[in-house]
Amino acid sequence: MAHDPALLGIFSYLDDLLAVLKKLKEAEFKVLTVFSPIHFSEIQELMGHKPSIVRYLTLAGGILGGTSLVGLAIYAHLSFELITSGKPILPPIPFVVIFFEGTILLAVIFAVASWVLKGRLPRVHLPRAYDRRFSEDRFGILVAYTNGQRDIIQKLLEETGAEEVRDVAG
Amino acid sequence: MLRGENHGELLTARMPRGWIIIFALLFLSGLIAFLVGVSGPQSQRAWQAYLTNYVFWTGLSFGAVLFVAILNMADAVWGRPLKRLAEGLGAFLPISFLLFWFLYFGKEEIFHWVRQPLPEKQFWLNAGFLFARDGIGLFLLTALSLALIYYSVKGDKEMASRTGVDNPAGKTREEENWRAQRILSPIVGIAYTFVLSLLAFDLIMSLDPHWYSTLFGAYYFMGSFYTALAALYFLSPIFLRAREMREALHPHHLHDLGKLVFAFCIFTGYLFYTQFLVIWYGNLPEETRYVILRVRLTPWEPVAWLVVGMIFITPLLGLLRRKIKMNPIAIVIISGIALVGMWLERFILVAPSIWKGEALPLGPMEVLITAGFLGMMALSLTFFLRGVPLLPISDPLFRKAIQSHEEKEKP
Amino acid sequence: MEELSYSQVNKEILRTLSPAPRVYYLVVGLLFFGILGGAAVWGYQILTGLGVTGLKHPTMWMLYLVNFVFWIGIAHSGTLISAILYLFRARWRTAIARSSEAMTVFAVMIATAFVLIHLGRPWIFYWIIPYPNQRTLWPDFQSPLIFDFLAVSTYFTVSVLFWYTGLVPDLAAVRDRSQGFRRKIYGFFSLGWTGTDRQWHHYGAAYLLLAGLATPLVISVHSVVSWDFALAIIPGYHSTIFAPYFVAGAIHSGLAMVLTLLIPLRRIFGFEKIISLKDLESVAKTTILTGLIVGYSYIIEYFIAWYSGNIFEKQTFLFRAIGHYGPQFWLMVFCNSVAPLFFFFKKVRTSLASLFTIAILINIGMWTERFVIIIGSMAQDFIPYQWGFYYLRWVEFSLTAASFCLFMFLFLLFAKFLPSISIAEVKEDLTPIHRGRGRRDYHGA
Repeated sequence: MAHDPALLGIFSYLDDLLAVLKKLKEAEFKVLTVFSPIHFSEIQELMGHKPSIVRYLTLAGGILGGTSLVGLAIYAHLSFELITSGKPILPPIPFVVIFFEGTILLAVIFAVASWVLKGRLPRVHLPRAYDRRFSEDRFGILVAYTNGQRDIIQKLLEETGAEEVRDVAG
Repeated sequence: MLRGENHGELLTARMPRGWIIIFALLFLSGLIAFLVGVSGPQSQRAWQAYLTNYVFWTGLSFGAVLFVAILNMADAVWGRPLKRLAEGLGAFLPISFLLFWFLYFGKEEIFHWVRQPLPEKQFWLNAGFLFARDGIGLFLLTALSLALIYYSVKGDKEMASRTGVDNPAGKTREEENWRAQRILSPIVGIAYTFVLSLLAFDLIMSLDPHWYSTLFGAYYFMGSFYTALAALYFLSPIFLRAREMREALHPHHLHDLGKLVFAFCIFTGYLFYTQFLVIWYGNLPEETRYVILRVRLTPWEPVAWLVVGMIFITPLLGLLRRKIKMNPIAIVIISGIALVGMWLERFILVAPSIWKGEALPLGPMEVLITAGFLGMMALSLTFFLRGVPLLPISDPLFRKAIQSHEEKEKP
Repeated sequence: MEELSYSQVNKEILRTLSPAPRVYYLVVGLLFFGILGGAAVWGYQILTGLGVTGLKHPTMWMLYLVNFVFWIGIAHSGTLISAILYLFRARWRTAIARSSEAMTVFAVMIATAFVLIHLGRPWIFYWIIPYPNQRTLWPDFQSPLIFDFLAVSTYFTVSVLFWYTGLVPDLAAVRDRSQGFRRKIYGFFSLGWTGTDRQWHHYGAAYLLLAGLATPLVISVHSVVSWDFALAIIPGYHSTIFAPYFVAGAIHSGLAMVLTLLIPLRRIFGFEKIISLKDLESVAKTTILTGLIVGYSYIIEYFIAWYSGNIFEKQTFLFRAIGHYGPQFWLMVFCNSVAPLFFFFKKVRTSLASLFTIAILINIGMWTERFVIIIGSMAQDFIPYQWGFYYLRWVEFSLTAASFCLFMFLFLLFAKFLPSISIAEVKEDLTPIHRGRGRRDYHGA
């Protein structure tokens, strides 16, 4: 997504990364992305994401799934109106199980779909800025720069311990 | 470092005098109401209320001790500061053991099969054998539970009385205390399931001697565990307010306990449903009678719906959000509702088998007798917490909990 | 777990994706022949009819249902370990979660296969799917068999999605180390994952929700399977305790299968540093709990059968213990409830040989339990005129054996082509690499 020119700093240590991230945020530079091998709550805090919408989408999926499967069951039973085993045509007790399974099924499908889509996946080509070592043990921080900021940012990255600084154009 | 640790200061709770008087009054009113009730025309109602309260409060008490046992067995670090509070709820056990024996005097009123014995079940359902086996079971479980509490408190008292110098003899005694707790915990756990199942079968299920359900014992003991968790949750904001506890008890404890209450709310609902579904689907008259009486017929039907709403729906919906799980007022309301609901649940298991009248036997007598039991429980909790260190300082997992919290707080 | 560096974790775990020794291919080949044999036998059964098996009145449910319940049971502890233990924040879950989830997915597939196998007309299996159709037929949604279909298919979907979600970051790690065709394949399946903060944010939220949703699902699925029996009214089937009893039993057999798979896996792949003996010990300790629950259920069922005074109940349980299938009953009691008690002794649960042996015993016991309950109760129900016993024939025996071959085969393929330990989760359990801690690699380099 980085159509602006940007600098990529590659770091080996977490505390370096957090320090530089803090400084960049304070100086109000535009941090586009932080790459990391695993989830770090410190990075998430500094990047300041809103609580994930995945939760609401999952809840919506759950409600939709439960009600629609029970709706299907009700429709099927009303189509035939057969009394089986002396039970009522629309038996509420077994329908609890139907509701439950429908809820879980669609909630899970929605949860997976939302984390994939919200992560802007699937993508066919990896971004230019991506370095293979990010899935192993390196961190990356991609900062966009406008005229004149390039050298300041580069200096900041190198001073705080960047192993490598690369220019990544759009 | 925690105030009081290794410095001989015991952090104990000082309940204001006024509350103790209130609890004592509650107990007295209950006692009087009960005595008036059993000597009057509706003695069956009084005994019914007594039994309901007995199974509710005893289950709660044993459930709290089970919580301690589970904390020990799972090497759980998070719940340590609550350990003493849970043990405090278990302090009621000696009283409950005594209260069990009083049931003997009401046996004709409570158990139909005393006046009219069932020939095919006479071996099992006769007063002598029932009280003997339940008495032995209760004695065993009470003794084991009190032993567990004893070693836990002993360790803390010994540690507090040392002046901070790690002397080798003290360390070994501390390890022994902890080891005793580790060995007792699984035994308490196993005994809990069997003794409470026996209690459920004998004191509740046998009230309708033709009915049976294999899940009933498990339903009772898991429900009691849920009740204990709700009681802990109810008391924890109050416990948290004590100045001494602030260093050890943090909001995230409330959150974790809330999650546990939520989980067991769902689990208790699940157990209820699985018993209900099997009986509903099989539609065998010998099984459905029991359920239909409680769920379809007056005067019990409204109570049944109320129970579902209070023990299942309210905590389920209420405890979904993180913020609510940590809000003291919400906690007290939701767990209070769950506790009252569980009481009504035990009531609706016990009463319909005994009471054959038209109106619902729920009135001032039941309220006062319940207050009596509540008073006894509150008094035992208060006096226990007065005499023991509030925090389980000699528990190695507790120290681990404090350390890991201190580490998290570091910049 | 020892303190490894992140790149060491990648190296150690991804080592297994490199070319395997000859033995591997030999074993896989043999297993494949076993599967082909099973397929041939099934084809024979379809052509000739279910009469070639031992199936006859009154045991209308025989070994195929036993296998179905057994494999669904195995599937459960995979989800227990990855979902429930995640919610409890139990550390010992990390190294074994991935393999357990894989075990779940394969076990559910095999269980579904047995549903198809046990049908008299397997070519019309799709009649059970509730969709608008030309036959103008709908299934009866209050039937436990329909619950079964819905629950098992939901479980399969959820298990696959949960497993796959956990795999995505690891597949990205494999992609980044590969070239050419391999890179394209792993790249495709990793969806282009790059580990950005945005991706981790939504991923973390979703994973917690998935764990929270999978947990009640696990309990519901085996409860639904137990209701296949409990909602019937014959003695030995109709019992309210079945749902939690079966769930506990399922977890029991699943944990035993985890031990059975992981002990050799750990040895063969040299994963001792990551899957510690303590993790295996924790699994063993949990089987004590589940074994006790199963033992409690046995005792309570016997007590209530006696207490009830119902002559049919009393008869069923008497026959279970001393009747035609008596030996199987005692085998089951010993293997399920008594054998795990040995894990109370530290010596036993820290010895790999004992762990493996008792795990095998538990699996035998749990399989036998399903046999005793399902077949035993049907063999002698209400009317003596209808009593009849089930005897095993070569057809169902070979299909049972073939199912184990299929399971091992799928698991070996998994171990070869996918990271069998979750790389990302192992890294999360390690202390992150700080400059302040000194060198990056804790063991040199």
